[in-house]
Parts: sequence; C-alpha cells; structure tokens
Amino acid sequence: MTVEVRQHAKTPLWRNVTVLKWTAQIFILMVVGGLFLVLASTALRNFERADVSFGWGWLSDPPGVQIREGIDLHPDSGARALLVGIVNTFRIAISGIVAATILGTLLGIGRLSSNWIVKKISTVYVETFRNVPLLVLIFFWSALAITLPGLTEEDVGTYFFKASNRGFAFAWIFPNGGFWPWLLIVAVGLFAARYVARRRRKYQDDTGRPGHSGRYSLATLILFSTVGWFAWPLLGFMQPVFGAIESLVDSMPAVIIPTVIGLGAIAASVAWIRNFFESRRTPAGFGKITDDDWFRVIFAGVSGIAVAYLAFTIGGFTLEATTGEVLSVAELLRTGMGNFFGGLATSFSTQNANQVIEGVRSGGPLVFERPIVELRGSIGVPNYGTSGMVLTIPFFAIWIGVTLYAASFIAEIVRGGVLAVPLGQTEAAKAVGLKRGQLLRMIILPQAFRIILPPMGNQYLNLAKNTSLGLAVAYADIVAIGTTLLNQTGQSLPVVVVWMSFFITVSLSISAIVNYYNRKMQLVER
Amino acid sequence: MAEMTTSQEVEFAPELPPHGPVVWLRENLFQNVMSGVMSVISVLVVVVAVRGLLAWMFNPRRRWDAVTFNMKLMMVMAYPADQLWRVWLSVFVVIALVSASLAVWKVGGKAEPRHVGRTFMTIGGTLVFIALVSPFSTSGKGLWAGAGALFFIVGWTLRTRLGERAKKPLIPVLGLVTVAFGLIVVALWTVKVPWPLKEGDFQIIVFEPIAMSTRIPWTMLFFGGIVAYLAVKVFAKSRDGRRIRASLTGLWVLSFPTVVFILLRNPQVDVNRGVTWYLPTFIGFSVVGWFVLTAVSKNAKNELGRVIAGVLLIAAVTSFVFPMEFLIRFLLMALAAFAFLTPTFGGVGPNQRKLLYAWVFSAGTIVLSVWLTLNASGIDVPGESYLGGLMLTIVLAVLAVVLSIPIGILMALGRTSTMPIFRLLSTVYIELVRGVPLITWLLIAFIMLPVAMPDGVTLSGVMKAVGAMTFFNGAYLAENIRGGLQSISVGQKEASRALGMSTIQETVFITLPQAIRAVLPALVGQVIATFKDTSLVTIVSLFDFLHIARVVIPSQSNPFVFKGSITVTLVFAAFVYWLFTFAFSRMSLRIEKKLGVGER
Amino acid sequence: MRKRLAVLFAVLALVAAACGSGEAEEETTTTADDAVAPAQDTGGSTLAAVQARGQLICGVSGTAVGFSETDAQGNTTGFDADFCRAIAAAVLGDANAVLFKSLTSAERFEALKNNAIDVLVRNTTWTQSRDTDIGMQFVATTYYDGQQLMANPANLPAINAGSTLADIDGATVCTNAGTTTEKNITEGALVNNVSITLETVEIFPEAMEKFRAGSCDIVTTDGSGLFGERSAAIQAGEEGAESWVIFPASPISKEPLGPVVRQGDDQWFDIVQWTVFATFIADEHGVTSANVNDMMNSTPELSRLFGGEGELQTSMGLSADAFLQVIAQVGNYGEIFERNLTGPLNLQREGSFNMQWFDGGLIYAPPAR
Repeated sequence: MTVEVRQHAKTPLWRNVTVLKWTAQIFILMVVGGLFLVLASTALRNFERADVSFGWGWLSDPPGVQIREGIDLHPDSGARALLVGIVNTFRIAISGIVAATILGTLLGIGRLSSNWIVKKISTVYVETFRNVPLLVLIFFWSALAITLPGLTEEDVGTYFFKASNRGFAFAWIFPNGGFWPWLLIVAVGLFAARYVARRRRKYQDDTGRPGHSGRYSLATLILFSTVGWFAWPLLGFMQPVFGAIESLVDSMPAVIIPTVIGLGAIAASVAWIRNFFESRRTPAGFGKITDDDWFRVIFAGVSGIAVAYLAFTIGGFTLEATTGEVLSVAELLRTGMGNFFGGLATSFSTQNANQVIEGVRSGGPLVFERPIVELRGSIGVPNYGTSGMVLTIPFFAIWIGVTLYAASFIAEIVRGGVLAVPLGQTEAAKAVGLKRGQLLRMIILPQAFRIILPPMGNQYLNLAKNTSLGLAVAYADIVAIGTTLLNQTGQSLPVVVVWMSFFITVSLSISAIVNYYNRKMQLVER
Repeated sequence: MAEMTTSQEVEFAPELPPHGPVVWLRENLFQNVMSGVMSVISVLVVVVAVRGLLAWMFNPRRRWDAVTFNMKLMMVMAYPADQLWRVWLSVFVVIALVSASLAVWKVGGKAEPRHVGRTFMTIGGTLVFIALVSPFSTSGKGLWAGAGALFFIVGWTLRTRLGERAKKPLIPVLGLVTVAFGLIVVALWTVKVPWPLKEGDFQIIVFEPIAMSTRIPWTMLFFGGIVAYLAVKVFAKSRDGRRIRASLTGLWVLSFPTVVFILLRNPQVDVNRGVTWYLPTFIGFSVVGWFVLTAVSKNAKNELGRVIAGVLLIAAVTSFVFPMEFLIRFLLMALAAFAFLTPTFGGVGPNQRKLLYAWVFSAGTIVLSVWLTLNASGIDVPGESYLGGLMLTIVLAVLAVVLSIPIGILMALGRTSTMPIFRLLSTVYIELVRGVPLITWLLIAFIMLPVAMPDGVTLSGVMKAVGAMTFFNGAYLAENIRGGLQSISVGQKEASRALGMSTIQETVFITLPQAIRAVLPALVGQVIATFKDTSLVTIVSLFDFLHIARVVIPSQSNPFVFKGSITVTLVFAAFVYWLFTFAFSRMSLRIEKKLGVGER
Repeated sequence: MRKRLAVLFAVLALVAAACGSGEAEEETTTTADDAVAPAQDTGGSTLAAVQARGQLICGVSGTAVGFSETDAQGNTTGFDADFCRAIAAAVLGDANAVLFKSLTSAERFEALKNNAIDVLVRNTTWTQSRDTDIGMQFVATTYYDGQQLMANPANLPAINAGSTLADIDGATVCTNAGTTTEKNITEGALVNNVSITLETVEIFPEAMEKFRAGSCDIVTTDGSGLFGERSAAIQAGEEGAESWVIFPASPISKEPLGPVVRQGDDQWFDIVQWTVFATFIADEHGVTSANVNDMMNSTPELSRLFGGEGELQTSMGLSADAFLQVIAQVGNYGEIFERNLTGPLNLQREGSFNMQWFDGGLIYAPPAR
C-alpha cells in the first residue's frame, strides 16, 4: 500500500476565489454604474433637446409666492422658501412625535388595562386607525375641521382656547428677549443637577441613608432657572464676543471653508486608516487582513479624497441671481456662518430685555401669550391675531392625521414591549415587596423600554417621512414648497436633489440617535 | 320546564364564583375610584362619538347618492359596461379559490355556542345602544332596537339553551360566515339606496332599489362560492391531500396573471404570429435547452458544465447589448439560470428528468406570457389604462408586493453577504430608499423617470407607480428579511456545511425558508402597508379608488352635480380600505396561529 | 472551490437577470398594458407618430368643471376635451381616436416635454415665460379667460359686484397651488397694498370645499371656473349659492387659455393651430356640424377650408377634407362652447371676449386661402 502524496499545485488565476470574487463584484459595480450613466446621459440629452437647463439660480431668485404659514410668509429667495418648508416639516414631525408617543403609550397600556371599557376603546381605536390609509385620514380630518363654526364679529376678544374653521388657537409660552442667555444658564444648571444627583447617590451608597437624589437635583435646577430668570443680563458681555467672531468670519476669505472641509476629510480618512491598522496589530505583527478590511481601507481613502474634491468643486460653484449678484457656495456658507454669530450676538444683547409684544404680559425670558380674535383689514374680517399659538387647518389635519395613525402603531409596540417582560420579573418584584407604581417604574418599564426602542425609532422615522403627505392638504412643508418652486421655475432636477438630501439627512440622523440609545440601553451580553 | 332542568343542573354543578351583571360591573369597570372615573368618562366619550357619527351619517343633507351613483366609477372606472362580466368573472375566480382553499385547508373549525352566543349578544347590545343614543326618529330607534333585541335573544338562546347542555353542539364558523354573506345578499335585494334625479333645474334624492346589474351577480357569486366549496370538498375527500394543496397553490399563483392579463385585458391574439414565430421559438428553445441541460447535468461535477453555463450566461448578457426580441433575451436568461442551477437542483435520474420538465414548462410559460402580453387589449376604454378605481388599487398593491419580493430577497442576501461591494450596494439602496418618503419617489418617478428613458420607451402612469412602489417596497422587504436571516443560528449554517451543501443550497433550502418563516408577521404587515400606500398615487393624479372619491366625483357637473360630497365619498373610501386591511390582518393572524410562526 | 465558483456565477446570473428583466418588463408592458405605442416622434414628426399609432394622446386635467371632467362612465368630456377630439378628427379622421391623459398642473409641462403626450389642452395660460422658457409653444387662444374672485356675501357683507382687489384687505383667499393664479393674486395684493392670507390647496374642489364652509372668505381662479362652480352649486340646490358674488367686473389678469405643443415641430404646430382656426372660421360663417355638408361649397373660402377646392390641407400632411371631419364630428367653436359651457354651466358667451371679432370679441382667425 502506497501513500499517495498530493502535490498542491498553485491555483490558476481563473480559479482563484479571491480574484473571482472581486471580478464579480467589480463587474456588478460597473453594471450598476453603467446603468446610472446611461440613464443620466439620456436624461441630459433629453433635457438639452427640450432646451431645459438646470442651475441653482432659483435658490437666490425671489420665488414670487406667498406661504400660508411658517417663519416667513413672504420669502425673498427660493432658499428662504425652502427653509420655511424645512422648519414647517420639523414643526409637524417633532410635535407629532411627542403627541403620538404620549397617546400611543396611553393606548398601549389601556389595551392591557383591567378596565373593560378602556380596554375595548383602545382596541377599537387601534384596529380602526391602523387599517385606514393615512392619506384618507388626513383628508378626512381636513374636511371635518373646516365644518367647524366660523368666526363672527361677536367672537372678537381674547381666549385661552378657540376652535373655528380658521384653525385652532390656544395660549402658549414663547421665548422673549433674553431667552437664549437664560437657556444657557439652565443648561449649566442641568450639569450642576447631574453632579448633585451623583453626589447624593454616592452619599446613599456610603451611608445607607436615603439620599433623595431626585429632590436635590430638581432643587438645583429650579435654583439655576430662577436665578437665571433675573440674572441673564449678566451674560450680556457675550454680545461683543459673538460680534467679534461675526466680523472675523465676515472678513476671512471664503476659500478657507472648502479648504478646511477638504483637509478635515482627508485627515479624518488618514486617521481612520491608521487607527484601523493599529487595531489589527497583534503582538505577532499584523493580524490577518481580509478582503473586507482592504475594502474598508480603500473605501475610507477614496471617500476622503472624494469629499475633499467635492468641497472644492461645489465650494467654487457660483450661483447667479437674476439681480446680477454672483456668489459662490463658499461665500454663501461664510455669510450664513456670519449671520449665525450675528444672531447670537443680538440674542445676548441686553437691549432686547424690553421687547414687549403688544397686548401681552411680558417680562422675563419667556412670555405667556393668549390668542385674540380681531377684525382684520379694511373690510373687518374676523380672524385670529398674531399672538398666541394658531394652528391652521392644514397643520391640524396633517398633525392629527400622523399623530393618530402613528399612535395606533406605537400602542401595539408598547403593548408588545410590556407583554414581553417575563412574568417572573413581576413576581420577583412583588416578592421583594415593591408597590404597584414602583413595580411599573423600576422593573417593567425599563425592561420594556429596551424592547420597544428599536421599533419605536422606526415609527418616529415613518412619522417624519409621513409629514410629506402635507402636500395633499397643501401644508407648506418642504415637499409642497418644493413642488411650488418646481412649478414656478421648471427646475425639476435641483428640487428633487434638495428633497432627497433633506430626507436622507433627517432619516440618517434619527436612526443614528436611535442606534446610539439602543447601544446604550442594550444589555451587555457575553 | 326548561327552567327546572337548568336549575337542577346548577344544583349539581361545582360551586361557581358569584356572577351577574353587578359583579361583572364591579370587577371590570369599578375596581377602584380611578377605574370608575375612567369608565364614566369613557362611556361619555363613546356616547358622544357614536351619536355624532350617526347624526352625521344619517343627515338628509349628506349626499350618499354621490357614492351610489358613481359606484361603478369607483370600482372599475371606465371599464365598458358590456364587458363587466369579465370583472364579475374575475371576482368569481377569487371567491371560488377562497372557497376551495377553505375546503382543502379546513380553515375555520368549530366554535362553542357559548362564544357564538356572546358575539351575537355583543352585536345585539351594540345595536340597542346605538338605538338608545342615536338621534333618530322614534320609528328609526324602534327598528334598530328591534334588530338589536333579535340578535340579543338569539345570542341568549344559544348561550343558555345550547351552551349549557351537557353535550354541546358545536357551530361551524364557516356556516356563520355563509349566513352573514347570505344576509348581505338578501340586503342587496331589499335595501333601497339614495339616487340622484333631475327635477327641473334642481337635483333631488330619491330612494331606489339597488340595480339588477349589481344584485344578480352577487347572488350568483354567493351560490357559486357555496357550490365551489362543496364540490372541492367532495372532490378532495378521496384524493391525495398534498397534491391537491400543491395544485391549489399553483392556481392561486396563476390566478393573478390570468385575471389581469387575460380575463380583464381580453388580448386580441394574433394567431398568425403565434404559429410563425412563438411556436417555433418555443420548440427550438425547448429542444436546445433539453440537450444543453442534459449535457450540463451529466457534467455537473466537471469543468465542462461550468464552461457551458458560463458561455450561456455571457450570451444572455450580451443579448441585451444587441437589438433583438425581448423573448429571446428572456429565454437565454432563463436557460443560463437553469444551467447554473443544475448542480444545485439537478443531478441524475429522476432529478434530472424533473429539471428538464421544469425547463420545458418554464420556457412555455415565458413564451405564452410574452405572447399574450404583447397582443393589444381588446378592452377599449377611454383612458390611459383599462385599470381604474378599486381595481387599480388592488392591482397596484399586488404587483408592487409580488415584484418587490425578489428585490427584497436579493438585497437582504446582499446586505448580509461577505462580499463588501455587494454589501455596500445593497446597503446604499436600502438606506437611500427607506430614507426618502414614498411620495417623493412617486414624484421622481412621474417627473424625472420619463426623461431618463431612451427614445421609443414611454412609461404609462400605472407602470411608473408600480415601479416606484416596487422600488420602495423592496427596500422595506429587504430589511424585514434581513432580520430573519440574522435570527438564524450559526449552527444551521454549520450543519448544512457539514452535509456538504453548497452556498446556494444552504441559502435556498436552509437559511431563506427559516428566515422568511420567522419574519412572516412582519412581511404580512408590509403587504398591508403597501395596500394602504397605493392611495398615494392620487397625488400624481392616477385614477385609483381614492382619487375618484376625492377629486373626480366632486368635480362632476354632467349629468349630476355632487358639490360638497367630498366628506361622504372619503368616508366611504375609508370604510372600503378598512374592510380590506382589517379582513387581511385577521386572516393573516389566523394563518400565523395555524402555522405557529412568529413565536420565536 | 468549484462550489464557490458556481455560486459566484449564479449570483452574477441572478443579478444580471434582475437588471435585464427589469428593463425588459418596462418595454414589453409599454406596448402590452396599454396597447399604445409611445408618443415618440418618428424622426421628430409628431404627425407621423400619431398616424402610425392611430390615436392622439392628449393631456387634459380631467377634473376641471366644464373644460375636462370625468363622467360616471369614465369618459372625458368638456371644452378642452372637444378640442382634443377636433385635432384627432383632423389628423386621423376619427374624433374618438383620442387617449386622454389626466395630468396634474405639476406634471403637465414635463409630460409634454417628455413626449408622453402629443398636445396639451389643459386650460393652460399662455404666458411669456412658459412660451419662451421651457421648450414649448402655445398655439392659439381658445378661451379668453381672466382671473376673478368669488365671495359669499353671507360671510363677507362688505363685498359686492363692484368691489375690487383693494377691498379684500384682511381676507383669507384660497386658490390652487402651482398655477398662475397663485402668482397673480400675490402680485395683485402687493400692488394694491392689501394684506391677505393666501391659502393654497392641491386641487380646486378643495378650495371650493373650504369656501363653502367659510374657512376661506374668497376663492380665486379663472372666471370661467368660478361661474361654473357657482352654477353647479345652484343646480345642486345649495343654499345661498345664487348670491355668491364674482368680482371684479374686469378680471385681475389676462388668462388666454389654449393648446400647447412641443417646440421644434412646426408641422404639428400648424396642424393644431389650423384645427383651432377652422372651428373659428366655421363659427364665423355659421357652419355647424348639422349643415357643414350643405354649406361646404357656399363660399370660396369655405370650399378651400373644407377641401372642396384646392389642396390647402395637404401641405400640412393632412387629407384635404380634414377640417370637414372636424366640423362634422365635433362642431364649430360656438357649438363646442354651447355644448360644454353654456348648456350645463350657464356660462354665457355673449358679452365676453370669446365672441367673434365682429361682435366685439377676440375670436379672430386668419383667412383660409
């Protein structure tokens, strides 16, 4: 019997797995890239044939439209109009997320309630609202809201809450002069409260006596807020500081901005690559570097260079307004930064302390305003005045629509989360002698929270995206304003680019936040 | 007499905890002060809401005639009236398949009279409650209360007389469903609906019975469904259940293309071209494919098989560069795929034969479907597409779901793959698509996509919408499936490796089925979401169900004007959407329970 | 190793198949699903494309009362729709060979530029920027409209038929987004130095809904639309609809509505333009669908127009009797107006700019010779 010794021949190139794997991948990449190129070149040719040229001039041109609601009703440029839309989108998204979370949690707990009728109502609610398209709901609320009674001359006066077919008005707290310095002091107070809480907890651990950390930290925060309420003018010295920064920014050459961004990008990618190799270094030299690792390194390097390149090309890109003013993107950015510091300087100025809105109790960084109904214009149309919080019908329709819709999903998530906490936890807690409230607060909710966080994040993301349905009831969000600008200027491609970059930024930010909390909340396993 | 027996039974029954309305109230509504307050508030809210809703619905100023007059428009849009039997036939196909499935899978089961009785009593109680709080006239209240009382008495009888007998007779759920369906059919023959009428210069609303063209088909569908159920039940009794289930699944799969592309389209088949071009192509490809696949499967373990398959693939890919019939490209593609899958599914003996039959069948299906779809539609409608209204909504949803499944699976595999560029591409796709709302994708598809099409290609509105929705839905499906893929333990993979499976075999036979099964509830949720999302096409002015309800009917002026009817039509639309999604979610819940999935 | 190789190719095949089939599907279903060849120019000629297809693809609104609306059978009817039919009658000899494509105001120009439609007849206002800027060309004015406002005196007693823009200070005005009306009212308010709240909605029926409910004090759009809405409301027996005030008497803007074609196809431009003119000339001479066969040779001009003498139409690539078909199948301008606007909506032609030039209107066609 002979033992056959197999000689390992060198694998030929065309059967080398690594080579084949990469060939296939690059092939697919080229196919996808080619497809994009074909589509893009066709589009460009078709546009050329139709005499359509795209540019960004519309961003600085006056849009010639009036916006129903937002921070600026008569925007002087397309960019400004888009900004109004973005702010409006955020208004709906944030208020919707808050309201839907509260309502959804209540409903979710309601579905587990021992009270029969509460349980039934919650169930009927959830089954009704999650089975109807959101768009139908929005249309329906809009149609319903305009059947509210109108405003008449008898309604003139001041209210705490008023609902009519012009919208909903209610009293609300608004920032006043000195708000930002006060907020700064409150933020410092937050840190102080955290420090105090930690000290008290340590005290409890050390001595075994109750530390009342919650009460102490709350007291600290209240102290800071109260003192800050009166003492904020002391921060007035920051006004000249910000003013100086503003003039510094305004006087620097615009080319610094792309340079800083480009250098930063390259430095970041170099740092990443170096760290990566460091992390693969073992006492026995470099660890095995797989395909994947090489890919990461190359990708990091290429993206650093790409960002730097883009920063320079886009930064030098000029926008021409019809007014003849020519500005490069970098210059625009510089102006924006300058304005930002200028705004900070103004808000820290002590002269704003006396800012009083007519007919409203004022004083202090926050004011409480009540809505009024007044006769508007020369023909005396009864309508809401400028004070207080006034929600228009489109705002109401889209807000209540997304809130009620998302709440039905959040209720299910909360219910599932609570049910997923093992029964043993409850029993153990009861055995230790925790009261019902404590059981819920200390045992059930923290564990349920961990389970419901990822799906909740998805719901928030969905809600934020669903606000784009505001288009259907002409709520002036970014999609609606984009559509209007697209109609007025015919610049379809740039508007689409703006939409996509906005939504991707928002969704990536939300998922980043959720992922961060998720990592923080996750039990460390093994 | 009857009471005596009951009391006697109670005497021997074990000691029950005290029950009765007061006890129930105390235990369920007034456990403590807080609960009592909440109950009272809730009851008030319900009373106000129900009363408001009823007052709104039955207000004579509501233009419900806008819905009834335009019912055909809302359902099928401009589908010609003399061809409507095609639509009814399609509905019948679906109902017959549902009945057959019910018979074969034995869904439903039996319910205890106690539970049925309770449901009846709940319905009766609700009706009486409505009658009490409603703003109706006395006679109206009486009618509702009477109906409620009837239900209540039936329920009570079921509960006490039957439910507490020693040997409880069980009530089949399907029977109840049939009775409910039957009651609806009876209602079609008796109920009168509002209808607009011109009186001089003004319009008035009269009440007329439902049109014959509606109630006769529904009656026939009702009996047809029963017949189909019974027939299948008898047929399936003495036969192999597995085979019947498999063929029924096949019928379900085939039903959609059959209904949409043959029944509803009525393609004007060009026989000449079929004989001179499609038939020879089919025969040629079957024969060539037969030999190629035989060769490949014989050489499955050799280099030669791979080389042949590789050459086929290259030929298939290059076929897209040169101008040629799409049919040829399809067939080449399919043949290349078969050649590559031979080592996985083929082999020798019966497996090889199965593969060859499968090839001939696939080639036939491809040729036939291309042939049928390339023929002009025989349905002449004034508009862009023969689909519209609710029909369009359903077709959009089904197409978007079906087409996005392969995308979802591929992208999920790509995202979990070890190959970095595949992973990058799928990740970019998934995150990009999910990050942007559907309405934006629809706007892009309607405004930008046509510009990027080469000369000679225009996309109809329906196709643009299907494209955008598929694109969007694929990313969500991919994320769901990825969740399933990640939930599968490494042991499964290692075990399949140990058995000598290739990566494809492992994915197709081991990983994917388990992954999909694990996330089935999420996938069903996605299907429901897609159905609801179809309503967004109204914003790009596609004449779907919602668009007709919201835009078309309120802007009619000829022959009748339905100004101010928008809320009415919207409520009707909401109800129809709700009916579909609710029924679907209930059905999926039942199937999930039966399969025992979703319990990880 | 081999397995990996196979996997590799299989993945390749799958991906390629996915790409391929995606593309293929689009193309096959184009012809299949809709049985309509694209509105693509064969060598740049829209006429040839339409004739090859046997059908005219016409972009309309589908939801504009009186102009193009969808009836309970799904047919498109109205003033604009009839002009589509007239073009189809001229080009194909069959007024019913039209495929109506409903477009939103946002996509209408894109649809025309993308060759998705042959002609756009969607109550589109002829403006300088639209005519010159974005690759399209206005053909003729079929309806002289003007933007007006409508108020309900029950809510706004200060407004009467004599009111002007200066009298709406403080009012909430509703209109639909993305149209010239939005811009007009914004500019008008600025010029008159009045402050208004402008509420834009996606579709006009919604604006009317808000107006009815009193959520809007005033709605504004083209006068024809306002008159149409008011008369429809009166027909529906709506309370107080008779007293709705439409003002100011002279519209705040000029809104000449008419068909639009793509720039760069002069032959197609001529065809659409002369189809419109043919309906004008027939109206001028009292030639209707009922009497066109008797009157076609009554004057030399009519004889030339209807193909009885000479071959004027053939130079455009049409058959000599193309315009005879237009009048016989669709009718003259007056008939189209009466059928869609005066009849159902009580929108009077008398006294408007849509009368013939000799009656004080602006409908004026160049002579056919």
